[in-house]
Amino acid sequence: MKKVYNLIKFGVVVLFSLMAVGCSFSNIEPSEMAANAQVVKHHQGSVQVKVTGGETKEDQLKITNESFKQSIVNAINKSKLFGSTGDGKSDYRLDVILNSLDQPAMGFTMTVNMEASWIVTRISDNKMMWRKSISSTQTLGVSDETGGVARVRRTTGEAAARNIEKALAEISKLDL
Amino acid sequence: MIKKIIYCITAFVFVFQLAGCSVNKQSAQVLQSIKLDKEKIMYVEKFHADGRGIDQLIAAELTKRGYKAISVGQVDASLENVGIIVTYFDKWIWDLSMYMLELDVQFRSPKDRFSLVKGNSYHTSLTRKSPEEMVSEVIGNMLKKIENQ
Repeated sequence: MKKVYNLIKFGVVVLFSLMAVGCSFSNIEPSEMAANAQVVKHHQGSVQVKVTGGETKEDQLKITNESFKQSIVNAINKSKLFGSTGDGKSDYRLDVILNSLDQPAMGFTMTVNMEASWIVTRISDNKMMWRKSISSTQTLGVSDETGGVARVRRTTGEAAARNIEKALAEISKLDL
Repeated sequence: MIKKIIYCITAFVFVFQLAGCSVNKQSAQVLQSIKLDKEKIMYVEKFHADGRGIDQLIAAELTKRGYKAISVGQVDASLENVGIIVTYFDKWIWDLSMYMLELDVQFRSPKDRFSLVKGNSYHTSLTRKSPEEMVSEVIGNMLKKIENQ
């Protein structure tokens, strides 16, 4: 009887530990990467956004293609960088490739480094108008966010937002 | 009481190890069309946080595969015959001993440092690889992708 009790106890601890370790880390949401891009000028044409290279699995505390795309579209619409955004017929295509995401495994002060490659192509003649690999970084401490997982989430989201802001600011300087 | 605490800690460590030991990922992707010129030099730029000489392992691996590769601190205008800039970051973690958890390598255009090819390997504790094996795996996957583009 005592053996059964011990086995149940072990099972409960195992379940609790599994939940704490790997079962509650959803990927970064678009709202966590909300960017406020400062644009120099506005382009009249429409743009479609395509993102590749992101995380495809769930529960990884990473950035998926879909969520990053949504954040970029939101930032473009908010800043009015392009006339409109959509997946249909457009004047320009914005390809974004998530090159690398360097997240800390643990630590009090956490730094996330991210790099994405941005390419603007004019669709009418398939001409590449501009390309750049853009790096961004964000560091947060315990005073900014107490919980470890929450700190990784917020640091990652803010590093991604800085990347979008840098890219859109540069695109706004182009003569398209 | 102490026995119970040890029991719980053992169970937690066991699960923590299981959760952390099951991830094995390796990938490579050609982002923009690229042709490697064996007459030009591939400069491996040292990652600022690397104190283990991974830049030299990468240069040695490329040399072994027939390319001219040199490890440098930072690529600048003074360098000649630059074919490709190679950048990387390595991540290490402790589990009974330190091991390389992740290696990420990028081949970049010397004109604008745009990333042309990326490669990444991630192996957790139970399937850990030596730094030489990690470098060989990532570089091998990247070169294979370039060949098949």
